[in-house]
Amino acid sequence: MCVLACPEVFLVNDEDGHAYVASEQVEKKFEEAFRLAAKSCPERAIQIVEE
Amino acid sequence: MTKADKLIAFDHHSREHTRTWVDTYRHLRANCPIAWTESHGGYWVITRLDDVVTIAQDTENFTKRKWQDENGTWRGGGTIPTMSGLLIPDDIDPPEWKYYRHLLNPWFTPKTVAHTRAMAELVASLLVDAVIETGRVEMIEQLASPLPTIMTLQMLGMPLEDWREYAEPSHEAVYTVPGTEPYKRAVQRLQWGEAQMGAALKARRGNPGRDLISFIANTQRPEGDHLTDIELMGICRQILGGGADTTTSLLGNVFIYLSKHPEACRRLRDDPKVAPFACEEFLRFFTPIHSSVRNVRTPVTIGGTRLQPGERAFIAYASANRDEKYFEDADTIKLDRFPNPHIGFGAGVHRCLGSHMARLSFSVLVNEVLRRIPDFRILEDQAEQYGTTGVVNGWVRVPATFTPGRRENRDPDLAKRLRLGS
Repeated sequence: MCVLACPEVFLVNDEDGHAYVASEQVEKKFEEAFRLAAKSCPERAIQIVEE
Repeated sequence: MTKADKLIAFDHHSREHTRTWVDTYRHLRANCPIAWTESHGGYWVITRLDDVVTIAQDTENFTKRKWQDENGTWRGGGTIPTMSGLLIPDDIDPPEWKYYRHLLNPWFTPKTVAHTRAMAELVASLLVDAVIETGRVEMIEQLASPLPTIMTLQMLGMPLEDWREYAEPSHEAVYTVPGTEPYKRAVQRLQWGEAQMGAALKARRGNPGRDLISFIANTQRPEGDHLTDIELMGICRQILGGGADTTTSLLGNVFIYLSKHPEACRRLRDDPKVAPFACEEFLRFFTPIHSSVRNVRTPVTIGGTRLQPGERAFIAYASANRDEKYFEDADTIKLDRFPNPHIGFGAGVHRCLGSHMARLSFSVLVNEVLRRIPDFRILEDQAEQYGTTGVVNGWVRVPATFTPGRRENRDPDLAKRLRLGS
């Protein structure tokens, strides 16, 4: 679901099929999509740390 | 609060549940989100998304381990009553779970699954060919059941022409109640397929093909041992069971919905971008795997209620997917709903292994039906829902009519092999 929301930040590992973040720093222009991705995660696995 | 304070009349296998689950779950979420029922020896009924996900993710305090007692009766596991037969990795707890799951994950990644799209499209075309000149189709038996089953057999490396022998008892085993006569008959029929897979496992050790059965038959643990026969059959049973019935149930529900909502059909045809979101929304709304079960290992507090070792917790995915806290207008299908944190594939370590395969089979068949028999109409008075929908929310039979069309004849040899001639 996070890949659907924000493919610029989330990638899928071809070995195990799990999603991961390409970079822990999220560019400003992807911020909104990233927030939607966090809200769309059924596992509550995405945490946003504001800096 | 004691069990007596939280006592409700609830049986997820009852006919009444099939009729009333939406209202029952809504009421429980609001008034008694951790409820106790005395049905089937007693179990907790967990209905809010937060609590369901917490339990599904908590492998310290909860177990899914399944075993046979001294009388040979199956205990534990992820269903109430416990279904017979070990599923691997579903009925295994971490840390052992991790070995099997990591072994199988590479076979089910989006990239691996994407390679099977052409095959899925070909089979879908042949399935529609078999009915298109008649103007009549039984959407479960002739479309929704064969495609996922054939794709699963292809991955396992079993003869595709036997698909009926695998598909039919797989459905029967989920729409009958464990312990009843029809259930026992279904399990007996399933043993034919298990014997076939057992023979293939033996024949392919040392003589592998490129299929999943060859892969597991030749897998060696770091210490050098092969997997045992029980482990190998547990994996085969899991993959067949997971592949053969779940996507079918989703498709049955969605075809009925689409037949009543031509505007949704138009939108899916005209706006391909909406399709992936619609697929997730259908998974949320219909929740083909309606529930799972976790068994309490150590005393634990969930939503303010103390659960004790040995008790069982029924986690209602279908209810969690209608939780008002997470889903606005939860009882309405919004094709482009987003965000959509549904747990149609479960949550935690046992989250569905085949989710990407399910999405692929689902979208290929829906596209094929919308493309070739777009005016299909379900004969609702002849449609028959599963006798019990508390575990798998599916349909025995969904007949439809449509304006006849032409065959595409993309692969007559395969059509003949699959015995799809009409």
